[in-house]
Amino acid sequence: MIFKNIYKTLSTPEKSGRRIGLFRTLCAIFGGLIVAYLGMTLLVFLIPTEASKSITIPLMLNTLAWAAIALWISISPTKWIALLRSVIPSFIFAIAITFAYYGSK
Amino acid sequence: MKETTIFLKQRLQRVHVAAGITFSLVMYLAVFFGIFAILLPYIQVWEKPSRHIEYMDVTKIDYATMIDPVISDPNFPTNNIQITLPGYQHDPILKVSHQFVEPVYFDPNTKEQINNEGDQSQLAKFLNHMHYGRPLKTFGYLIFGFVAVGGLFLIIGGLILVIMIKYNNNAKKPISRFSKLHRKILTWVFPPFIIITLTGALMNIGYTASAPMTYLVSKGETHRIFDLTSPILFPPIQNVEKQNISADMLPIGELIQKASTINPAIDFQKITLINWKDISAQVKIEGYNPYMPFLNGISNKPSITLSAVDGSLIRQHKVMDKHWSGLFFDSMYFLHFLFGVDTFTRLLIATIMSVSAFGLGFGVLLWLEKKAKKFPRNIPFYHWMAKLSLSVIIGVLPATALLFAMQWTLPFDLKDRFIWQEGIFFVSWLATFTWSLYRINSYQAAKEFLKLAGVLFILSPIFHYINSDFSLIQLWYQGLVQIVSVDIGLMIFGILLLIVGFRLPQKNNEIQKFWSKDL
Repeated sequence: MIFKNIYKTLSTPEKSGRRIGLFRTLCAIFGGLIVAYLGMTLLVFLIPTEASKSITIPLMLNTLAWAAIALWISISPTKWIALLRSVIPSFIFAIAITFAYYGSK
Repeated sequence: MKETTIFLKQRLQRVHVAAGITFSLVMYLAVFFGIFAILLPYIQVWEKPSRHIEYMDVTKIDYATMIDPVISDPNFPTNNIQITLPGYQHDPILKVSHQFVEPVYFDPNTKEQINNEGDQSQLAKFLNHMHYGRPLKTFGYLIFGFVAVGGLFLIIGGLILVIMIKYNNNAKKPISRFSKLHRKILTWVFPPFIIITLTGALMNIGYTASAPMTYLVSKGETHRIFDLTSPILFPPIQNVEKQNISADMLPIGELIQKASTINPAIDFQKITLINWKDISAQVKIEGYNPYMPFLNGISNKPSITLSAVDGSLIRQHKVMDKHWSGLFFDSMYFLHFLFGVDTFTRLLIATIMSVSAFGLGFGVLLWLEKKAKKFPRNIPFYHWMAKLSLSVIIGVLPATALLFAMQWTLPFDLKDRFIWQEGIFFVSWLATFTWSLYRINSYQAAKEFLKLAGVLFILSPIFHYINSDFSLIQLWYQGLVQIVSVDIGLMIFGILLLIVGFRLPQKNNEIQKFWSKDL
């Protein structure tokens, strides 16, 4: 019942786009950071050279990715979507990193 | 229009405004002091009496008479001695240094050791530190780093806004004028701006934050990013076995000439002496290739390694020999560091950055004008953010001007000279904040700050002339062009500030007219 209520509050679209609100801000800052960081860590594994060479690119793009994803999360239509946008990619990247970590030599 | 697109545009605008006003002032400071950091090589020559010496051609210098006494000292290490050549970062001195000993400085004209001012003269260094928050240590790094990320956020969001929303460019109210200038300027300067902000964010918070990533991708071997990257980016000099047979060395000038016939494209900056005075001795001569900008200069330094006994070529590193990750690293950092580039490029980037400082300023003005619009015109607009912005954006000018004026007025043997200079700078900057709170009319305060800054900037080359005993003409005839140009630059900057200070309107109806004029 509580979860249903929370879901309902979060998924109801606001009447105006003029307020961003604390929930979206937190999702954007921390969710954006986690998504960007995990994504960039995954990118090190995906670039087909040794980590010492491929890490330069993710290192450079890390902050840009954070900014871009934070923007993407902060403009979501509802709070629920903002939450999903920060949680789902994080999970996907985390699982992919686990595979890459144990899968690569 | 569909409701979702309206909401999307509203949100984009709202996050841009909220983040923009939060980050604007620190962003402005980073850009403002960054402009001085771009001009750092000239300022650091201008500020020191010991640097008022002529530039010498690096191949014509008699290195042995300067270096031999230094390295014949049994306490001075003989391996991996670094010689920084005159002209590197526009510094006319020759520096002999080693990782483990105090560096020694020479005037290559007289071949005499010079008295380096060291910590007594730190003007250029301080301006550079202000650029990335160093006076506040870790806290400052973090603040400036997060502001850089905020800057990236704003650039991306702003570009999307410019694409999505049709703005009216023809309205002639101050508010639309500010909006237009803010948009136009930052849309034009965004390509260099985004790269510079990106590398700035990396240096301030990226490296610190990279520990978990490094730990993961190295499978727990290390959490220090430099353990991973430095063998690729900054490979150590290969160890050469010492034979313990002493031998005569070729003159360094001759070795430089040999190196420049092997690769004439390189501007040589630094020489490393390996096993000096031994039969196995080598010199590694490295520099910057100005024909390949963006690909070398930071981690990638083209070099030539010669035998110091017979001058034969041992190893050569060309620009394109670097691994692509190093080339990528250099191409991103190039615009931020501008190591080894010529004066024209430096001035060009400094101009672009000054223009973007205006872009940021107009953003703040737009926000304030929107706040002021809610009140009737006959009520003076008094807002804490307006006063803070006034003292940060305009008030920093007289404080910096004072910093320059003090450089040649405080005696060089004053104890803790730099603490005085720095302290007076911060106190006077704070004073501009109290002054802006005191003056109800912000335009009046701005005019006063600009005039004061103008006068102080004009005075600083005059103080330089009085206390260094070098007049402009004398400097010019002695070939000290860098110092002359700093003097002239300060003078012109001061005059510009004075002109703006006098031209800015002060009365309310004049202000409206001023911003509605055709630009």
